Amino acid sequence: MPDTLPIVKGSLDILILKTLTWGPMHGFEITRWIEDRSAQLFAIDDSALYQSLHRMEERGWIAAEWGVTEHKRRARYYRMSATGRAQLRADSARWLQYAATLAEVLSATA
Amino acid sequence: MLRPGIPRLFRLAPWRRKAIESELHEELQFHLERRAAQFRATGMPPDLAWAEAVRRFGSLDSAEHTLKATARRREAGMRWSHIVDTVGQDTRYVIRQLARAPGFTAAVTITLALGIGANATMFGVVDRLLLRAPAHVVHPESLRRLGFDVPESGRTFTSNALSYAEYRDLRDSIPGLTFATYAFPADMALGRGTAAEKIRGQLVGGPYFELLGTKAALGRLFSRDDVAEPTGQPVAVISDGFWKRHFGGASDVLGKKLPIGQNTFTIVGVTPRYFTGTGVSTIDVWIPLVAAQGLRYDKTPNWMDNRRISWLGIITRQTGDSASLIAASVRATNVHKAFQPRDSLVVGKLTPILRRYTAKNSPDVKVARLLLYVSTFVLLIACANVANLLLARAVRRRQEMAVRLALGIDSVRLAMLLFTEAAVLAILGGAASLFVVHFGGSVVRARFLSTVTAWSESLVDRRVLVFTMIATFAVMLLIGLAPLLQARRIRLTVALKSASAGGGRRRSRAHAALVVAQVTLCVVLLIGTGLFVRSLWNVNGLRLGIDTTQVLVANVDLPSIGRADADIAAAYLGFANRVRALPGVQSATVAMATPFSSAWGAEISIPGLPKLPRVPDGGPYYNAVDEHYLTTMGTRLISGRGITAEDRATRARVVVVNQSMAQLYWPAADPVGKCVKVGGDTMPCSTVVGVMENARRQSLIEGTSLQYLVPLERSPGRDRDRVMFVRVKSDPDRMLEPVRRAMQSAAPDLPYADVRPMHSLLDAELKPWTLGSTMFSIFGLVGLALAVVGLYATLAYDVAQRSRELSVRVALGAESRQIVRLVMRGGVGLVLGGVLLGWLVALVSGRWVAELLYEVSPRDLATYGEVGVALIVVGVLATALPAWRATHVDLRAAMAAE
Repeated sequence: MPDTLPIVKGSLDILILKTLTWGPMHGFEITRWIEDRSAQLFAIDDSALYQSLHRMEERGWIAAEWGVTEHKRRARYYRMSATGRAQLRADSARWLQYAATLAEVLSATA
Repeated sequence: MLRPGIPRLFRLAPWRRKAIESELHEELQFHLERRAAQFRATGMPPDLAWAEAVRRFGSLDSAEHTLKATARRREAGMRWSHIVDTVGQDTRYVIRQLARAPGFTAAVTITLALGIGANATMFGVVDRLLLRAPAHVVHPESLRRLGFDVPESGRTFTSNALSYAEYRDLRDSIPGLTFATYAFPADMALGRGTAAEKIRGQLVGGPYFELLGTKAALGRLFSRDDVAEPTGQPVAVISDGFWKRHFGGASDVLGKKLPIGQNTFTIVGVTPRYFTGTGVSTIDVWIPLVAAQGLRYDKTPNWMDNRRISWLGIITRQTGDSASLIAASVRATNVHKAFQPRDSLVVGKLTPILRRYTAKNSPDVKVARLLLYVSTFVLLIACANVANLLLARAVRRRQEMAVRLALGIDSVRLAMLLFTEAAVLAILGGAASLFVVHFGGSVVRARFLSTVTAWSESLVDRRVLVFTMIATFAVMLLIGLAPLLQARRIRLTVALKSASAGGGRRRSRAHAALVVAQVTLCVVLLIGTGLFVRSLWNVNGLRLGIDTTQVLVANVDLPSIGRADADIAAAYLGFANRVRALPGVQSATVAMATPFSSAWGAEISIPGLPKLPRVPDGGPYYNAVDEHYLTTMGTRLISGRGITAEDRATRARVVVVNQSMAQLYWPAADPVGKCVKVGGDTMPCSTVVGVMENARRQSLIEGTSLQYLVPLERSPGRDRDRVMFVRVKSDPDRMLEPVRRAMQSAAPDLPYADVRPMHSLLDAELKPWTLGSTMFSIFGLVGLALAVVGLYATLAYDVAQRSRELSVRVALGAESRQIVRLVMRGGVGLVLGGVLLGWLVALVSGRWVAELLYEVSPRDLATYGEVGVALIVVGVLATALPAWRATHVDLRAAMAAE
């Protein structure tokens, strides 16, 4: 068993969206949240994270504004928009079905 | 594809670009720091931790580069989405705010709906009466109607009506041009007996439909063969409306027969919906002129050659040389044979058929156009009112706004918010105005324009919608302006320092100006109302010499079914006998001519008067009547006697002359017993047996008219021209049907018996004044109501604003009377100012309505006075309540509010 799992292409967006259902977070908080929830198995490529964030912001799935952290530092907070929420709902259904199907096919006995 | 200019809009300003880059840098730095901190927490030395954080990030430079590009793209797009977003947010906020003040919102919406609705209704009316081209006419702008400039006694007037012979000559002399002709739409009797009905028909000649470019909606229109001389084919084309009404829109209508007059016409086609030829009034059926035996204006067999009767319009297309060709032909034929009876005709000329040229001077169009302008007054009053309400509201919310400013909302944003409120209200008003237009339009149509077809079911159509949108936008700007100016003035410190006392003076000046403007406009409107109502009174008060209120006019188109003249004369006497037996009928009379509709002239000579004095109206005109005529018509006998049964039985040569005739021909003597030679000096004397009062001949307003009566049996050659008048005891409208049935059942094969109240002959003439006075009254009352509300609201607001001052005055011992006087002085002062300004505006603008009035000066003192007094009274009443309230201001409450 490797110590981390690479993130399957295309699933980073949905992980971020899922994370943001817990409330507005800045980039680093999002990484930490995903890593914690995945028992450190998902290792997020920081560069990919920000590209995903900015891409989704451009699409209007999430919105960003500057806020202040508990350590009184300025940080860019992301929150989910209504379109993002709809996107998450559609995508998670698709991913769950994908995962279930994959599991079924792989565990099928000859 | 975006237009080349558009991307520039999306390009970011350099400073914004810098900001994006530094923000991105800051975000990434923050991330790296947190990551490094995370590593440090595991015991890593700080420099290694930082290096590890950077390494984990991957290629920082290239990532930053891509991110910057994304961010820039995003920002550019967001400027727009931001604006949309802000507007959306503001709109939602405004809607929430308005929902919380339903009374205010409803008041503003109704006010604006009335204002915009009044305008859109009048626009719709003017559009249909005047602006719109006739439906289903191809290139209506090049269609021309032929007229002749006829010089007569030093003046030139244009004659638009011609005879068939003239049409034929013109057509044959200029083969290069296409001409068509038409008679003016007339009532025709469809069917016979009890199933008979009245329809509106038009006779057309030549390639009428081809020239208009109209295509049949069903079947075909007339062919060359249908309209060919001498008798064409007995075919008919019906309108879409008649098809639906009479045949239920059934597709097997083609080939069906229409019994009209002596002929039965076969339906060959249906015209497209709303087609009304070149005019605007409803037409049910078109018939070839040559085939319309008995239906033509001239019912004689030689009608085609009769040049004396002008009853046709001639149309052609304007081409490069059509005008000169026609002029040349007219000149040539004028000299030779064709136009000989019209020696004086000199120039043939072509006038456009579009109503914006032909109808622009007709009185109802003038009134409608005037009302369109006047309705903008109502809209302006409404806007002033709403602006006032918005101002008051803005001032009430001054504290809220100051707080918002303090919280960092910029003043541009605040102004936008206020404007959004105005915009939302304007749109609400505009939307609600469509109801006003829909219902108002149907009322206007039913009351004044019932014969206009070019009018879909509702007045609301695309053109009216576009107009309403434009009006709404204008309103938006007008009412949005006040709070915008207001917002500019809100200074944080001032507003916070004194929420209710400060700035009051200045603001109430804006209020005052708006109130004065409202009163001014209102005075002008009401003066207009007064002038029109007075005109209507004057017209209605005219002694016509004929009682139009209790008299019905009845006829049956017997010539159209080819009845012999003697039979027609006898039939009418029979009708009169049947009708006299009806309960509710006081008397019935048979005559030859119908006042306001037809008149006949005959040459007379009077012994001892070698040259008869003339009057501008021409004449003298005569009517042949039975012994019941004067009593039935309500015409008074001045001296002598009327026509008697004995006169008729003996075919006595007697006449009854009217006062004008008596005074003109026998100024010094008693006319009774004098001799009049009817038909010229070769005829034997007819004895004047009586003098009757002057009665109208042709219209409500006319000059001296010379008229005389002869016994019914002394109208040789005119036996076919008969009409019956019936005087009823009660409501004439309720007697229409009994009289009609009594006539219709006189014989089984009669065409439709047409019975109308006598006053309906005057409706068209009265229309400008009824339309003017009714619409002006409505507009005036709406304006007055709005102005009263505006005045009341302003004063109530003023009192509320000054509550502290007033309470101090009361505390210092001011009496209630003094307080009331103080408050009312302000209000009444505004009204007085408005009344004076209104008088001035009305004086200046009076000349535009002068020609539409009847025997009322546009500067009628009584009207000005009444309106002034009325407004001052209303003003006093509107100020009374706020003034009374001012005396009850509670000092403690006023102070506590600080």
